[in-house]
Amino acid sequence: MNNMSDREAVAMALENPIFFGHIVDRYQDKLARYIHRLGVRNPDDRDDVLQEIFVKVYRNLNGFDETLSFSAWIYRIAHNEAISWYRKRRVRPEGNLVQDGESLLEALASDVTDTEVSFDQGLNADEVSKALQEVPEKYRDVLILRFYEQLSYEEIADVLKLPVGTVGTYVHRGKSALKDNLDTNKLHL
Amino acid sequence: MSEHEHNNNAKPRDLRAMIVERIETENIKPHSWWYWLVLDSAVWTLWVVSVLLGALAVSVVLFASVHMSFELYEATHPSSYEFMMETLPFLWLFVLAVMFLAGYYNLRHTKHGYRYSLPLVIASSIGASIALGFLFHALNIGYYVDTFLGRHMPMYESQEHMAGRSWQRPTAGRLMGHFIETDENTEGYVWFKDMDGGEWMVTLGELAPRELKLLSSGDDVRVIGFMATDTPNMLHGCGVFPWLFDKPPVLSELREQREMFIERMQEMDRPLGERIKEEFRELGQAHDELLEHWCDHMPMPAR
Repeated sequence: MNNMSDREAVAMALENPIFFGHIVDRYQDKLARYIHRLGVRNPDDRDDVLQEIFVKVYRNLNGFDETLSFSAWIYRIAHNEAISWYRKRRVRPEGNLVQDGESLLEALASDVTDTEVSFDQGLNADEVSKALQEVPEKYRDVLILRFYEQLSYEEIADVLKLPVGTVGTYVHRGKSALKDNLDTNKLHL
Repeated sequence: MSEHEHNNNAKPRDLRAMIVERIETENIKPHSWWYWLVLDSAVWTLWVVSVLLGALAVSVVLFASVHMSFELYEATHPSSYEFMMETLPFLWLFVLAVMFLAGYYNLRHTKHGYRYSLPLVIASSIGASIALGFLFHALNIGYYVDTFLGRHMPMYESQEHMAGRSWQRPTAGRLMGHFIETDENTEGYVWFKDMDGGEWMVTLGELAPRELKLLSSGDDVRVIGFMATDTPNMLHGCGVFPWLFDKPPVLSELREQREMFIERMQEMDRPLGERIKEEFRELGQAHDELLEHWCDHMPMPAR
């Protein structure tokens, strides 16, 4: 079962909902991390949101666009569900991503697609995650998908429904904003 | 590990079992393939509709632009600016702008619309409307739409009606209508029925042979002249031009009209002095004395 492709899993889930559990197993950890990064921090809320995401995925299985990767498609649903959850709460919570700051810093430093914005390796994870929270939301969403979720530009474009060129621009601007925030925060220390 | 980190890393409860159970107990079914097809088709249909309506708007704008009686604007308006302000099809320009936006929005919201680049979206939505609009215009669809709406929707003013309103102003020396009959007892004028049903004696002394021929054809025509001060319902005719709204417009005819108008003015060899022109504008084309000089001082059209 583990060798089954996403498309095969979708086909089987459409035959029998029992097999949908395989898709849940495959994506629940990734999506849990993703919606946590987007701001759904409380574990109970996170489970509720995850459940809604998977129910929506199941309802929309026939609408899965096979020209997309299944991963991009399911991230799109997760993203929209998380946004809708914020809207119900009327606020997108600001929290810290300390435990993720280090991995973000590594990912940013190893990004070879944009050499114009470089990051000081001496930064600590706390500084990075704090600066990330101050990046405008549209850039932050792209940075999270790119550097935490390791999605390609094309996949990010499919998740956020943006042209690929816009994703590239947002990544660059997001990194610049992140670097500016880091520099500003350093001055205030 | 802090409690916060522990919570963040905690594995969700047995989500798989919960979801499968929920699907079964609530009898949740995936939306059918047809549902998605209809949804996708609806967005594309809306896009096609907005492109088609945009094309119709383009064709009416083109028709109106070509057929706004620009060829004789000096005879009906004090300036080209006022002429444009009164005759430009603002309603259709508004419809056009709305349809451009709707086309853009719908294309962006098709299944893969977000992937298309801005130039492609603009070229395919706005460009398609413009290209199709030119085609519609070539097929005279703009004329038919405008005329149809004008005749069937009371609140819609077609170009035909607008031009009629502009030309049916006897006090300003303009009439729109057709020749009825000659009077055997009198020479030098004919009976003319305007678009409002009023009957006029139109004098013929100043008219060129081709204008007399045009007038006597009985077709709808536009007459420029001035009202006689001593006889009611008498107009001294200075020029006769065909009424072009009884058939789809032909650009060459309009050019010919303008050439004829210019030629007519030159034949009269009475260029307008700037002073008269100013006074004429200030008095709003209604002053009797100036109207009497209308033929003498008719504005010379710019070449």
